[in-house]
Amino acid sequence: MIAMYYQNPITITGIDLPWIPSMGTRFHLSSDGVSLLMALITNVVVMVSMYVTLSENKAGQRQFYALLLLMQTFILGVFVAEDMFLYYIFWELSLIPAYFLVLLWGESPKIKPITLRFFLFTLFGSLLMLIAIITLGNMGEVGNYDLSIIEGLEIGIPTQLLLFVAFMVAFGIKSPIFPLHGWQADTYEAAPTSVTIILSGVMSKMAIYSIYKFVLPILPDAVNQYGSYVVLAATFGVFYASLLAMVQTNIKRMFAYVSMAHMGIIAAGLFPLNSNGLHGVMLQIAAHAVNTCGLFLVAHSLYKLNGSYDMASFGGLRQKMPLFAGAFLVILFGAIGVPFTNGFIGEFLILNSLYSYDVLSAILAGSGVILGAVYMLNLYKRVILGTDNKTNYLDINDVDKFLYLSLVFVIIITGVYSSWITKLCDASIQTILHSNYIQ
Amino acid sequence: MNLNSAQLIAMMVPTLPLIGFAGYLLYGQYLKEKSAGLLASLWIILSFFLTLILFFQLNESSPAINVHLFDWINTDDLNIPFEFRIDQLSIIMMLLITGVGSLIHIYSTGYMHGDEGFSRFFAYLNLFIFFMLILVMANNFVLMFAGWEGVGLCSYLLIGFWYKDHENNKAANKAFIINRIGDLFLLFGLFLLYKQFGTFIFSDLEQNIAGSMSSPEILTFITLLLFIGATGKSAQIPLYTWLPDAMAGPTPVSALIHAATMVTAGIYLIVRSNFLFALAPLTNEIITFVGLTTSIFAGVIATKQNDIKKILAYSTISQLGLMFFALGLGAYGAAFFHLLTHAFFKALLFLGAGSVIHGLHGEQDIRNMGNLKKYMHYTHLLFLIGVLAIIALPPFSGFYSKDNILSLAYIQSPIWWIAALFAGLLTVFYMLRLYFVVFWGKERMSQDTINKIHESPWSMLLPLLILGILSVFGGWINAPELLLGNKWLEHFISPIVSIHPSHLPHSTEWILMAVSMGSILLVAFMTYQKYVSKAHVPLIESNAKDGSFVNLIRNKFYVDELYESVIGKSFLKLSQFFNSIFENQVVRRITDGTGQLSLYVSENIRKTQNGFISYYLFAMALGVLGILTIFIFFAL
Repeated sequence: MIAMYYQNPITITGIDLPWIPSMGTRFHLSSDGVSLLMALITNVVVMVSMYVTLSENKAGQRQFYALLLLMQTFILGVFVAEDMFLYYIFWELSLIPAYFLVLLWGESPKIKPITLRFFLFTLFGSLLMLIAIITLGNMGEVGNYDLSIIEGLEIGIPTQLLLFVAFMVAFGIKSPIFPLHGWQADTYEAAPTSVTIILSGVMSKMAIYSIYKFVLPILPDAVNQYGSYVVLAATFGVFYASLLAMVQTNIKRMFAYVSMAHMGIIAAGLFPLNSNGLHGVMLQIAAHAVNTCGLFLVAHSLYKLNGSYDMASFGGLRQKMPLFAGAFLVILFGAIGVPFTNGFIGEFLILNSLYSYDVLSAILAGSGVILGAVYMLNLYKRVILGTDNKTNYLDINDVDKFLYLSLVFVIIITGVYSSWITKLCDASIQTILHSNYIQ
Repeated sequence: MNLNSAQLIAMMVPTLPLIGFAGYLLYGQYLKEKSAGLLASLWIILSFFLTLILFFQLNESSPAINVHLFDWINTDDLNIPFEFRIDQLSIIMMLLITGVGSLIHIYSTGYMHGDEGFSRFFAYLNLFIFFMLILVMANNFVLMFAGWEGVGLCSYLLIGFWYKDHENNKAANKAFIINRIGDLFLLFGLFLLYKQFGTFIFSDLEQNIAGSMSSPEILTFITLLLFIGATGKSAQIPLYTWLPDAMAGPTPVSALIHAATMVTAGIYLIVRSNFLFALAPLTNEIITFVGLTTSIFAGVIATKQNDIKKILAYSTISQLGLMFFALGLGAYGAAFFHLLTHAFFKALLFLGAGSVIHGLHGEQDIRNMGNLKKYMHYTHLLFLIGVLAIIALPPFSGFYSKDNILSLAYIQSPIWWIAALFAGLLTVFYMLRLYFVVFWGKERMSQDTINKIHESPWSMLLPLLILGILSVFGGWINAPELLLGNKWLEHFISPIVSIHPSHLPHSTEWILMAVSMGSILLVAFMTYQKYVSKAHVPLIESNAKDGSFVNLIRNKFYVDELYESVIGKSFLKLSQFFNSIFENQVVRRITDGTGQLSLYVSENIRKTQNGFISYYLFAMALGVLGILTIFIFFAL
């Protein structure tokens, strides 16, 4: 489908059928370049997740796979739904398999309160969103949830503000954006790694995608007036999460905060509302999906060595596991955005547009660039470098090798040749910008 | 992509080292030590010859060769090409990088002999050359920044090359992080530049700036940000502390990266964007001041160091400070000239020091050396050349470049001249101290060590010899009229840097030169007295009787400790506060608040379900009434 899109960059309409006529909702699926990118990311991330599951060797593998696939279906649904009600249904449904996956296969003794918090808090956000969607759907002459019609609505500024708050709380929780991240670190840490990969690699992007797809075109005035507050919260979150990442001793929990820091930069990149920022967001979404996969995969490989995520239980792996150490290094550089890795271009574009938008936010986001180097290199030093203390490990096996090499390949190729993503997203971005923000 | 032959050659120059690096990944493990080292060196030597071919195609009036490879970043608003620009400035840098790079590769085949990470070392060196070439060949700031961060990355890898020792890893991390701080400032400088002028491409910028009437404040701000970026990479106050620690890496790395090439990137940046800095007089004053302060400050610290590589590291900081001093005065040509000669003699000194360390099997403390001239004839002779060059005695290369800077300083103000001369005299003192303590006096090594001292193999001495020749004659490329030269270098780079008009009367120049020569000789004599005639040996720290100021110097003015306790600690405190208090007290409450809210609401709603039929009936009646009211209301 992506190949098709390059040849003919138009919106592909898949299905458009009446669904619940009494409410005016339609089963309307379609995809533009951005949706395609999202779908691609979803499928890649789920593949990696499946592989991790394969080597986790859990009880009830079959149910586990079934739930993973179910989740994949619903997430893909979110990315292609054109009808807001349908979109909401997919959004909500994707939470359910996630809930059960974490609850039933979670790795923490406190799994019940953690999943409950995760579920309730996310649900709370979704309910606000549901109210907002119903309000929007009933604003027109007939109840109609189709995005093209909702986009055409003229909405008064006070109403826009209320809807904006409702949407942003929902997406801020999912993403997460500071200070709505209370569920995240616990959940990422406690969830089985294969699920954490999907939570951070794809589900967090659902929020960014939704802001891009719905909030920006539907509520332009509110975005113009109040976007700066979101940017400030998100970029403060970058600083905040980076500092938190510095003092974690559990590798998985640390990566959870790393992920949050990156999501903060991505979320902030939406609001300067220019082509550079939005392209940066898309590039960074793709980069973050790959890098976060890589990081949690590293955590998983480490866990396989001695059943621990504690940094202190590793050291000197470089000697016995040169390939693993090398792959980790590249993933790490991708995550901290060194040029010629995928993390750089998106970060560069976002920071560049943030700088013109609000210097304070740019500085807060930029602090992540420095702090990122601090915590990542310290982690690498403690786990990989130094002398071999107690380990007698073998290097990663062939399948792992293939997976890591593919990630490394993608990280570098995208860092050098990024146009494959910008070309894919350009039409969609220009449409949103030109129909709402650029006169 | 149709390239003519010059463009093709230009493209190959950075590609070859990259092939070398990629090759290591593919077949590195199958190569024997000898062939791995030879192959890695060969890529760079080849690259050097290609650069030479390009060099002979350029003269001082030829246009730049542009090589457009592909679009690197392309959004609707912004197009950053992956494009090289080979002009008079970049070709000289390319010659330096591939030339000195080749020599150091050859040297390393001897120096790293027997190391278990032998081929990995060469892979990193190849990668470094690639990034350094990207840095100087880029036609825009962003690609340059990519090279800029890339060399930092290689520096990180090579400082921590012996990764089993956590001291090295700590130094590597420190280098990368401090450089990142500088890089962020540089990045913000670039963002502001883009905001003002709408492009990152050098040639377009130059035009846009000429055509625009932007306020000097903004230009000052931009150039200051760029300069702070430069202080990170080029180890100036306040971001210099990483460079002495970076000596943890193998000595050839110190010579190539931390003396000859990477640390001069900050100088290159300012020379490259001199069209910006020329418009920001305040920034220039700050640069002059910072450069001079750094030069003296580092020089003072160097006088009390006892690690042979640390002395050279502080000396590098000091010399770089002198270059910045010249840049601030607007003497871009002179600064660039000193960059080149410094690259020759500092690489020579580092490699010479490496030869000493190699010969003594890893000893780096000068207090445990002495009288090495008896054991290592060639190393001694070549090291001496390096010392004479750096203390700026004629006719060695350092003399020409330092004299150039000094006389330009005098034009601005005699006070600048005195201060710069003082920095130069510090150099004379600490370099001769190093030289005398290591090569003269009595042997202070154990008898066992003395028996094992050996002269280095030819693969190490040959590069030393070539660098020695360059250190002697390198000054001729920019000799002034006064000394029968024709300032070739400054004329050659005049398309990028307009020639600085300097007209001191010849008599004044002679007098200045005589005064500086006299004082250099005087200091040299005093140093000789102290360290040779009186055979003074620097004391072990514990029984130092000197006043507290000496201890202050010995401890490098406690700057590291200051940074650590003020900045490092406060960030750590903040992290711990966020982690243990804010996360639990505030964030957790926000999260749980919704749960508690729903519990609270359901609790209250539950109360309505109390099981009394009459209550339900009442509620139903109320409901019906309500609905009716609404219908009636809307019907009317």
